[in-house]
Amino acid sequence: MRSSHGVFMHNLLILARWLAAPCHFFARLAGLLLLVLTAVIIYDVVGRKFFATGSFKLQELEWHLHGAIAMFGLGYAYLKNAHVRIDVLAARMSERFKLWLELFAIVLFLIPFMFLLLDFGYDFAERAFIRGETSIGGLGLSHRWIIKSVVPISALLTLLAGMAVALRIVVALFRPDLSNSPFEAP
Amino acid sequence: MDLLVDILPGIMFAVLVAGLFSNIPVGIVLMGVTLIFGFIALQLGELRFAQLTLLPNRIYGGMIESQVLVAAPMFIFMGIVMEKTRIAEDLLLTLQKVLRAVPGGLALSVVLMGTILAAATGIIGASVVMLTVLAIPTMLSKGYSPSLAAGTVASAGTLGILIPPSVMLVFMGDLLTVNLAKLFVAAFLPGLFLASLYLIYIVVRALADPASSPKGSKNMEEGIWREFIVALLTPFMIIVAVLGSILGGWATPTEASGVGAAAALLLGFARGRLSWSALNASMDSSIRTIAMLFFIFVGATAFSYIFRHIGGEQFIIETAQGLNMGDWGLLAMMMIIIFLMGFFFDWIEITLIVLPIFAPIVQIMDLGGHVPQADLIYWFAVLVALNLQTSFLTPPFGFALFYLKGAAGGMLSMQQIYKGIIPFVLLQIAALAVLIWQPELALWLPNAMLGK
Repeated sequence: MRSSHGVFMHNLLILARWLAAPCHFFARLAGLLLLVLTAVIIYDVVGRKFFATGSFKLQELEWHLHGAIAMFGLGYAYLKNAHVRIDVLAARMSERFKLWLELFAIVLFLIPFMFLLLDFGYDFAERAFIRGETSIGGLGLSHRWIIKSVVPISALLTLLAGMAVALRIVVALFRPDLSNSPFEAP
Repeated sequence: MDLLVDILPGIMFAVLVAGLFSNIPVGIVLMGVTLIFGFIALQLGELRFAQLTLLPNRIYGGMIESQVLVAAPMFIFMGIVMEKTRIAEDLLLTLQKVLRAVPGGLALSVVLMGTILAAATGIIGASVVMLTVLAIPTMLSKGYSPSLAAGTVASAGTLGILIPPSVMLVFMGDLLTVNLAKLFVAAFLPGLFLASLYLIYIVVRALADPASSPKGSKNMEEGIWREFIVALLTPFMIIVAVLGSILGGWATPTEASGVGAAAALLLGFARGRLSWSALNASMDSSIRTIAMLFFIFVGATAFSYIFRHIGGEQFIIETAQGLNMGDWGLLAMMMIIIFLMGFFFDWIEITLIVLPIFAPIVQIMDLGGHVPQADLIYWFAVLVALNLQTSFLTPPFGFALFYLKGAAGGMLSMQQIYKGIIPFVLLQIAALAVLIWQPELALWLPNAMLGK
């Protein structure tokens, strides 16, 4: 009984690692996009100031990249416990109480919110795809559904990260010998 | 039931404030309060389900489809690259060497570093910790009074939220829907004014009480001037180029942010510091900081969407008018609330949550000719920035002080920190008073440079 319990907990940790993997991938991608965005802005500025090229398309590409950079890391940052907390009262809480509180917050707030955002966001992006939405006036980039997909993708990633952290909290609560922190090493 | 509907926005806000102290990540608290009150509003018929499904449109429109916000991740990236390639560190060390024979030289270099690298120091906690680690041990070993060292580091570390290119101003400009370039220019002179007050205080203190800040030897090491040019002039020129192009009106803040990031990468590379691991660390650290900001932004966007639908805006305006305090009274009240919130919350929460709530009040405010109506919002934004910075420094709660204590460990006692920060808080209050008395301090430069 005892050992099957341990196997179960161990499997939870493996599952958490699988859930976290896409978050790591997209955060890495977002990091690389910082370099791409830097290059696009430079190309745009140099073109505009010196060669009178620069275009509306480039400016649209800039905020497209910004959107992906801003949103793709949300789940990853949670895995690394990088999200801000107001910890003035934290010193008065026991470690177990904090873990339970976090678990409730994930299950009741984070996961339902991200599920709704994923659901509504999928419709939002799908609508753009079906209607073939482009930029207003057609001067910018076409295929708005690509950038609009950033909303549901990021919601899904954050959902996965929330589930991974929740599973690790369960392990930390019941088998602290297997893993004592729900968050990944910095 | 009607009464419940009337005061629902008030309850929603109260629940949020209480929830924030639960040690749960701020973004998740915002999402939870949004879900609870969204559900109540659905039950009361104040919100239709179809309206709820528009949430992705708000997030997309408010956070993604924005040419102005592009500057936020880029300035963060620029700052972090400067930190990870140790450009920031070199700047401080060189300033200290060059200024060591000047009265209060080490303290002056900390303030100058905080001013020049304001962008690199946009996140209060990170910048205070960085300055503490870099500057406090040297100052103490050279015999500086611990309280002077503490006061200097805490106040210089918070300058970054006021002096452009500040990431906070990018968000403020976006939320108040004002021209970001103009907001940067408006914050420029008040920021410099404040920094000069610090500098003057340090010099006067050093002259009046030489024991508090002993001078170093006058002899310059060999090669110091070469080091001076490499370590000091290059980053200084990057910042001047970034700021100058915005102030001069020939680059948008977004363009300037990209140029700044590219220049930081190039400089790091040219000095052989941009190793693969430093680049990786910069990207990783930037993504975490950016995600931290935008996670709260997602929550705050959802929160204010529901808050508005249950009549939050009207509730705030009616409550404000019901107080019968006049426009100056309202301004004072908002400033006091922001000041008190600064004891517990970073600018991130205050800007993203509270500013949208106060914005409708500012829109109906009329200060009877003291501030031109068209410029009121710019003056207000700079006032908020300066006010917040003061709050972060004010004992006993000001949280820049806790970051300082945390990073300094046994080097500084809380008492020395409190004692050292008081003169700087007085300078802050003086600067605030001047800005209120003479709005031109913020408004003259933008109108002169960018036109009305």
